[in-house]
Order: sequence, then structure tokens, then C-alpha cells
Amino acid sequence: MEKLSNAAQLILGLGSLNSSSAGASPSALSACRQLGATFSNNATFAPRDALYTPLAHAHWSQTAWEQPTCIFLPDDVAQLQTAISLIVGHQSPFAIRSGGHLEAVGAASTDDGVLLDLSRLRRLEYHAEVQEAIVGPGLRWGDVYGYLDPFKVTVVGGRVLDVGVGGLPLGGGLSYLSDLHGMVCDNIVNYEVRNASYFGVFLAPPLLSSVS
Amino acid sequence: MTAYTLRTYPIHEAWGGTKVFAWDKISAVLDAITAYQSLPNKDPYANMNLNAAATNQTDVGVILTLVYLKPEDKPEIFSDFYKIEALMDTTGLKPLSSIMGEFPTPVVPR
Repeated sequence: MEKLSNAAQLILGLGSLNSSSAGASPSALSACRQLGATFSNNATFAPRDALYTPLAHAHWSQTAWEQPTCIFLPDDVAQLQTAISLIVGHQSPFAIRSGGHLEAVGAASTDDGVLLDLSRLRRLEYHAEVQEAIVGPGLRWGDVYGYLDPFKVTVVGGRVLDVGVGGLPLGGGLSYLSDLHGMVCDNIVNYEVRNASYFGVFLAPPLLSSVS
Repeated sequence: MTAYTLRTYPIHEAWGGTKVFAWDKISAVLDAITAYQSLPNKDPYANMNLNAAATNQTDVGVILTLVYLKPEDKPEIFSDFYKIEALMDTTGLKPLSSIMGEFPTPVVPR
């Protein structure tokens, strides 16, 4: 089959977004349509796309499987910010997935709205001089340890290699290093937080108490 | 959250692995864990993860992951566990990430 032009692929993609799925509200559908139109980097997946089902079922626990209106994978933080602005503009519900581990309904998906899959946000750096590692939410703990192993260092991270980096600290986080150094969240020296506006926010723990 | 900065620690070579026990050993395992948890000055370099699960379709038994964050063979703190007969035992001197890599991701169909 001949390779379709980008425009043709986009039009086909938009067409599939018009199909109604269970529980997809008009705001979710319009957000999904605009995501497909805005990003041409093979990032928006609707129920008719071949990759939709593997992505929707990427979670190890079937309890957490749902049917999002569409699934969007930002390539980088800038795309994520644009997507959030767009989703909020449409007042569409959305869910966020890092590794997809918590086995509860609604933990990492939604039956009505956009599923933001962060798996392409894979920033991974080690700064030996300050004994710090910077990690993106698309990584799993196995990726982090594999990267740090040659340096013979580790971090206070998850015990199960498939667990995502993004979610674990939000619930505290148990590690095999916890008796020595505390929970995963105790060992985060800086957070990079993005909201829908142009400017990001960098929060170091001493400043968190002043954030409303 | 788009990035975390994590503190690193010079921990790499360790001792530990996975012990699998048959279900008839569960009382002995729980007694050993009770004693371990009750130690007044528990060594912070020792850690473990117990999974004992059965579902309608599978019965994986009792899976105990032991971790000691220094490359010391058969640390004293786990001695109660060495006495319990195991179906499988991979414990030994190896990197911490290898010990974690032994933990299986279960397939749990509904």
C-alpha cells in the first residue's frame, strides 16, 4: 500500500474521531478532534485506530481498563502544555497515565475524556557532582535503575520495575531503601510542575508551603 | 508533574533474591516476619517484600523477596527464614536492580 500523505492520514484520523464511543461527551469529542488536528506527530488515537486497544489495555490490571474518547501521547513538555490548554478550553474530562499500575477504576484512564499517556516523556539524566538524577514521568523504575547501574548508584524508587515514575511518589512510595532514607517522596529535591500557561513552575520543597 | 529531581545514593552491589514457599509454610513465614518486625533495633539495610496471593485461576504460593543493601552473604537478620524449606531460592550476592528484576508481573485475567 502506498504511504498516505500526512494530510490524508490526518483526514482519515479526524474521520474516525467522529464515531461515538460509550460515554463520550460532546466536550471530550471536540477536544479529541482538535488534538488530532493540532498535532501531526502520530499522537492522537481514537477507538478505530489500530494502536488504540493496545494503548487502552497497557495497564497490567484489567480493573483499570476503560474506553477513553481518545488517547493522546505528547512528545515533550511543550506539547503537553498545549494539550492541557486545549483540553481545558473544551472543558473536557481527562485522565493521566504514567506507568499505569494502581489497580483501581479511574486510576489511569477514563470512560469519557482524553487519556493523556505520558510514556514519551522520558527525560533521564545523572549529575554525579551533586548526586542527583532527573527523571521524566514516562519512565518506569526499571529504566531509571538500568541507566544508573553503570554509575553504581541508585535512587529511592519503586520495588517493582514496571511501576511508573510519575505516580509512585504521589502516594508516598515504598522502596527497599526506605528504612535508610525514607519514602520516595522524601527524596525528591525538586519538582518541575507545568500548568496550562506558558510559564512552568519549579518547586523546591522549602517553597511548597507558600504555594496556595 | 513533568520531571522529578531525585537524590542518588552509592548503593549497588547487594545480597538477596526470591524465596518461594508452599502454602503449608505460611504460618512459619508469618511467625518469622513477626519476629523480624518486632526487632527493637532493626538493621535499616535489611528489607523485604512479601506477596502471598491466590486467585480463582492461579495459585502462586508465598513469594518472599529479601534484600540486604550491602554485599554480605546470608545476613544474620534473616536467619529465621533460612530455616524454612523453600520450593525455590535465588538469594545470593547480586546488584539491587537484579533482585528487583526477579519480581514477576502477574497475568491476572478477570
